[in-house]
Amino acid sequence: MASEGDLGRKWDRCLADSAVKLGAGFGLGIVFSVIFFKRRTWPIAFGSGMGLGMAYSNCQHDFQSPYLLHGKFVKVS
Amino acid sequence: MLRACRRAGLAAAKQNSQCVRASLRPSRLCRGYATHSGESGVSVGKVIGAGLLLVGGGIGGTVLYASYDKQFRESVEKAIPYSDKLFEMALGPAPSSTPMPKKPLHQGPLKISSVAEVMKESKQPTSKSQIGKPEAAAPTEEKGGKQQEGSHAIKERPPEEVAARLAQQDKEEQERVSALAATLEAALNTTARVTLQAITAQESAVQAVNAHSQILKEAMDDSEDAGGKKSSQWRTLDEALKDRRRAVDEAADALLKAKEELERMKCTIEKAKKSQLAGAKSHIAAAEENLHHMIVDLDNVVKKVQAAQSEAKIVAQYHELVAKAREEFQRELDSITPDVKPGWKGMTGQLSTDDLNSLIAHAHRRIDQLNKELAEQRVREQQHIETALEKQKLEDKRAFEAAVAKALERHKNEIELEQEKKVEEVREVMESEMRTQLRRQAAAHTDHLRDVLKIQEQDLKVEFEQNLSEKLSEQEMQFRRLTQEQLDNFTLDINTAYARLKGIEQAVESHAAAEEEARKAHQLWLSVEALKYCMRSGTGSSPTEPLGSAVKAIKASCADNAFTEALTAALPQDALTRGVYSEEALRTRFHAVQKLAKRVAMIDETRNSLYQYFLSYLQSLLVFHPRQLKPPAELSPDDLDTFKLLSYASYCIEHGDLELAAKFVNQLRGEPRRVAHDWLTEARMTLETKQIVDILTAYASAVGLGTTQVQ
Repeated sequence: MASEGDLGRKWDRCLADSAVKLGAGFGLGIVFSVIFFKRRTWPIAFGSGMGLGMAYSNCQHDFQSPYLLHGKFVKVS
Repeated sequence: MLRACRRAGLAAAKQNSQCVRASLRPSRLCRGYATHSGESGVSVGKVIGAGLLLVGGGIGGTVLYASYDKQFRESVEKAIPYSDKLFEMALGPAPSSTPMPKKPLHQGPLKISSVAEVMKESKQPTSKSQIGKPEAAAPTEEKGGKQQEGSHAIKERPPEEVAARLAQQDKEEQERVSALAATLEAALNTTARVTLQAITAQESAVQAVNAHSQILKEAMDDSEDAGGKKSSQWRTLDEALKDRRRAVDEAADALLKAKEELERMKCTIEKAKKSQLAGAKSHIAAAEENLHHMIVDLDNVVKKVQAAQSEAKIVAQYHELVAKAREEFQRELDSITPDVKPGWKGMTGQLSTDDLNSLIAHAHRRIDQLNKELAEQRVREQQHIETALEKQKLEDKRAFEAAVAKALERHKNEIELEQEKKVEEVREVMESEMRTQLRRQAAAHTDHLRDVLKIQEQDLKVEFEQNLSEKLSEQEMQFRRLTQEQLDNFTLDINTAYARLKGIEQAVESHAAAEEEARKAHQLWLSVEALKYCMRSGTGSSPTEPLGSAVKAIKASCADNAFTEALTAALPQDALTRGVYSEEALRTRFHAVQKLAKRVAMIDETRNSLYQYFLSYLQSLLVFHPRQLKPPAELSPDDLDTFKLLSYASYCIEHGDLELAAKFVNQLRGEPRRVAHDWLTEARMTLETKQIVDILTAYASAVGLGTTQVQ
């Protein structure tokens, strides 16, 4: 796979993920708002916001993943 | 406890030492004081003087005693090292033992003189042994013995001449000796004769004397014989006396003559001795001996004569006495009886009684007288005996002395004779020894000559052999050289022929090899061309065919070429398996990459959130760079901007310089780099492959060029 397609792929994933997360959040929001919160709008917004946020976070993490440094402590004896 | 004791001991010792030191010091001080205080006593100077005196006295005494006693001197010298020098200084050098008497200089073997005359003379004594002056002969002989070496340089006389000379000399010597011997013989004969004569004369004289005395004795004894007999007796006596006188005279004469002859003989002997002929020595000795014997005989005989004479004298004296007595008696008788005839015969018949009485009285008186005389004689016997003894002693002494002198002389003569004989003997022995030595020397000389000749022979032999070997080796070397030359020429020809053959072979082989090479190169070229074609087979964006088969073909075509092998090994594996992208594909791809890279130009390690992504996208929309920018010769740091780099790269790509474009793309950092990563790899691969293909092509064409023959 070509490296220039990598970004595209990432974007695709991101979008897909965000869509899923948004939908899931929205749906859960709806569910919650319907079930628990007397059909208010805020859980839907909250859920979709959460979903979007999660998607955004995931997206960002995905895009940042090449640059993340995973260090571990090595005790110097 | 022990420690305490030790400590105590140490302390005590310390104290002791202290005390000792303390005690020493005061004593020294005391001594010093004492010396200072006792100046009236012995002072230092006096002590020193006394010591010096003592030492000097000792040395002087030793020296003095050594001058008396050598052994002491030697022992002292041995004991004390430098005392001998002192003694030498004081007494003079020690008396050394008497130097050994120098051996008489051995003249002969060392002297070498090349005088011909000396050689002449020397030649004679070496062969002769009996002749010549032995003392002079010895050195000359020895000289001659050694000069026979030197005579090699001198022309030698011919041996016959030498022999003749020798014979002549021999003869001369013989003649001389014989002459001398003859003279000696003659002299000896005459002397012997004369001496014999003298001896016989003496003998006869002795006999005469004896006879005479005998007769006299008889005459004396037979006093009562008849008158006639008496007268005859007296006549014989007279005759005997005459005989005796004559004989004695003759004897005396003969003695004189004999003595003369002996003297002459002695002179001749002396002369013979003076002449010093070796051969005559024996004669001389014999003559001397004879002479001596004659002298001895003569002396004996003379002694005999003298004894006889003395005996006769005694008898004569006795006779005289008796005669005298008789005469006296006669006279007395005459005086008494004057008329009686003095004839004794028939006296008793003619005499008268008076005469008889007077005669008897006279006889009685005579008897008395004689008795008195006898008594007197008896009294004076002792004295007479003593005087007689004395006289006898004197006479004896004289006779003894004379005899001793004679005996001494005789003994001396004998001894001289013996000595001469011994000398002769010794001389003979020496001569014989000398002869043997000379013989030995001659033998040694011959040996030496032989040795020298041998050595010379060897030297000459060596020299000649050397010469011969040199010549031989020269000839051999020449021969060898010629053969070697021939051989060399032959080998040279062979070598040239061989070389030519080899050259021809090589040429043919190289031709074949070249053909082979050419074929191979051709094949290589073909396969490389196939590779190139393969490279070109990439269409659109799909990669080329896998280059593995073409590479295999290349490998097959040139399996032994390390260069191509290395090159084919350097091809990237992906290129072999998957193939490479063409430049066109890469170019197209680059456009997409460029677009994407521009969009994420701001993203790198620090900026990589989504927001930044949005911003970078915005930037890409707002930044306007020319799509292609000619890259400068040198990059400056502000050229490392993404957009610039991308425009340089696109410019290069558009102008077909993939390499430079790849270089520029390589300078991207951050996300653009990550985006362009794959493209870069592909570009690298393509570039590598292209490079290798180019090298192979170049190589193949070079090889082909190298092997193709222009006809």
